[in-house]
Amino acid sequence: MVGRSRLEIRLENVVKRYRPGDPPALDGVTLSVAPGEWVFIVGPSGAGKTTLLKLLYAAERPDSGRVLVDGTDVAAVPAFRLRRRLGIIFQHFELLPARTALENVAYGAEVLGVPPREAAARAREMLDLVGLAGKMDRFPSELSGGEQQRVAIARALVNRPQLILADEPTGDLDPENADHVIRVLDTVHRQWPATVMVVTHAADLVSRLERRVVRLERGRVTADYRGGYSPPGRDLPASGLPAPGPAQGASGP
Amino acid sequence: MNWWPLYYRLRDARYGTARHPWASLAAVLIVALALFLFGGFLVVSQTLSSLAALLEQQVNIRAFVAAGADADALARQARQIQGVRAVTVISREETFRRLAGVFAGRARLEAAFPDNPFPDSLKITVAGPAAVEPVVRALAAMPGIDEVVSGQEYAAGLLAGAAALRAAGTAVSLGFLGAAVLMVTVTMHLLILSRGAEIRIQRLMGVSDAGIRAQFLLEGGLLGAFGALLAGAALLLLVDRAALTLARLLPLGAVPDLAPLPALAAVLGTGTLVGLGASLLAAHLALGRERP
Repeated sequence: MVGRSRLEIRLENVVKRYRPGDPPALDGVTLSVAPGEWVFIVGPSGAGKTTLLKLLYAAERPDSGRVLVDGTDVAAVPAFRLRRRLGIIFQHFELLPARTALENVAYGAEVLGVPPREAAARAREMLDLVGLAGKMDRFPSELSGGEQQRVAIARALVNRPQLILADEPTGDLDPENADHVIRVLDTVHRQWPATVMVVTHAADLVSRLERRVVRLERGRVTADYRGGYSPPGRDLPASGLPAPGPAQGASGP
Repeated sequence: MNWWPLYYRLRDARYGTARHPWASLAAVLIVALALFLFGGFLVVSQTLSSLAALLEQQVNIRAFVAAGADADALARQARQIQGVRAVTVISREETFRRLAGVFAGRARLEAAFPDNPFPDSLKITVAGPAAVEPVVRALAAMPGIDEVVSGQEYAAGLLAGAAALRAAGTAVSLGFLGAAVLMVTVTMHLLILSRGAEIRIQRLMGVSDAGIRAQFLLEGGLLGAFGALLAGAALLLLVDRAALTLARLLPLGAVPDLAPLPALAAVLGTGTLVGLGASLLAAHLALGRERP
């Protein structure tokens, strides 16, 4: 595994509205994530979790405030340059059905002009890392949901990103596969010095890993836990997490 | 230089067109048809122009003598005109004999025209093409000369015909080229929409918008170029046949040079431009709406 510098993330009083007059999707969010840190972003639907991620990979621009990745304002660099340093994982795996697992992963390198042999070597390495070494020649239709998501993770990692953004990576999976996918991400994070940000609803997975958890509600950071919390139910309650005290590195009311 | 992106783009172009083979084929054929018409008009108008140029180089003039006028006296007069090199009198009997000579049924021709209807004529050779027009004017002004005919008169007619054909050809070709652009645009739009997943992945992996558009420009350019190659091949066949037909039909002793290369170059260039333009439009329409 090639070690590379990790990215620091900072959001400074970020406001984002999709339409003028609508309530803000993000309302004055300030947040810092240290290089190499793993952060879960949790909260009810419509809390602004996905918007936060979109701002980080420059799919959206803030109305005000600044989004800094590695000290650089995201608005100041072309989106494609920023994304070459990111690995982005979605709930829907976005695999190409006519390509095998190996080809799907290698495709992620090929689109950036990596020679075929090197792209294939990197793809094998990543598939091995996510535990799919024996299924490289399978098409997505021949893989389970969890395996498909692991292929998507391997593709997101194939260009050795410094920041991994995962938006509900377990949303389409049963608990067993969801657990497996999170364990894969955890393994990757242990071996791979990248900063990781995972948006999820799965409270039991969040509690098991004992990582930093940032809670968003109505576009505001309402809690910031740094490891070790036990949610009351399987899914995080809409009313919020158990209050551990004042939020760290968070802003909002 | 890293050539792998081009390799990947060509490979993806093959995958992409294979997903919509009939639409791709229809686009190639409509481009080929439009360019064949375009190139055909170009070749025909070029041929008429070069035929006119050939006629303009002719240095022989024919002057027909009015009934009752003295052909020999007129020939002497004609020799005095500046620029005239030689004058030969062709009697009406000689003209009839020459005409009858090319007909198999000479006896029947003589029976049909017992009174030779042809006038005497003068065959005038001038010093050069530049002298034709003033000599024709001088001959036409001579009393006893009924009509003067020169190759340059036909040349003017041909040039006018070529210009009219060019105008009509341009209008028809533009219509067909417009249809070709529309067809390639629709095909490219289909190809782009069917690759939404690839485009989303490319954007997320850090491919620039220009890089994504370049893929479809390449594919559109290739569709146009394939159509143009097809049209070019058909055009070469047409030129080959036309040359044979002209050689049989034209009583000029020389067939004008049917140079298809400029038309072929125009067809190939236009085809590629049609493909590029259409795919640019399709990419603008399809990718403008795409969200990462």
